[in-house]
Amino acid sequence: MIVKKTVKRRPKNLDLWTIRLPVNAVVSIMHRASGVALFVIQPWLCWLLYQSLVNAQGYAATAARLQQWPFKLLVTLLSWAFFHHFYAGLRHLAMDVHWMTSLQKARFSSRVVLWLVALTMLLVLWAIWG
Amino acid sequence: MLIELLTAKYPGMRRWLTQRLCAVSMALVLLLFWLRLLVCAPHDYSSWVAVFSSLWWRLLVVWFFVCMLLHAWLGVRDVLRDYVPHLPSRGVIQALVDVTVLGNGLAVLWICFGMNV
Repeated sequence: MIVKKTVKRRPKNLDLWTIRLPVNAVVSIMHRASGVALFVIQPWLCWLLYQSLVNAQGYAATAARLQQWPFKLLVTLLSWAFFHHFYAGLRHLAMDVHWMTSLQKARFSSRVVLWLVALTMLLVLWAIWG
Repeated sequence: MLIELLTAKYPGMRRWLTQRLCAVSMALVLLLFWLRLLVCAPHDYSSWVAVFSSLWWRLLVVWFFVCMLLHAWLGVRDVLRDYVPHLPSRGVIQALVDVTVLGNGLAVLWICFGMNV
């Protein structure tokens, strides 16, 4: 009973604008967000795969569509989601086997993830828009 | 100890391990896809179809999607449990997710083995 009362009186702060996440939390929540984004877009990717394989016209239409800037932008954003999810996922796997789990090392590996994503995105931007 | 954690007594551990194994599997398969496309990048419809005409490629595509959908299903399930406390709403969203996962899986299976490329 005593425990219940203290739990109820615990201060709550859910004002998102006053919560400042540390870098490892930022990488973690973006891992989630990018994962959800990749899941949501999945049916469209299946549709693209189908279109590109069904016949030559479908292939040409898909290739032409991917040359238009709104689709280029979408592919750029999806590439960001993929590479963030990929690198941050490798980091989570490393932590699952108890590698780099101290706070200091976790903050360091978060920065490494962000830098890897940034560098890969430079290549992606060059490949898509260059 | 480790084996006991993977028995029916601890279903959460099995889900956790499944999601990780799928992740590792996807990373490896993606590497193979990337290498294959690096060796010979398809530049038109016939070369793209040629990539899909080999059995190992189609089997790996289906395997990749099985891992991806399982991985995603487990991940989205966790997200919904964390952020949608209202049970009826969560049930509806989860059902939509289930249908999407199943539909996507069947679609990829059909693309790779049903339709005659």
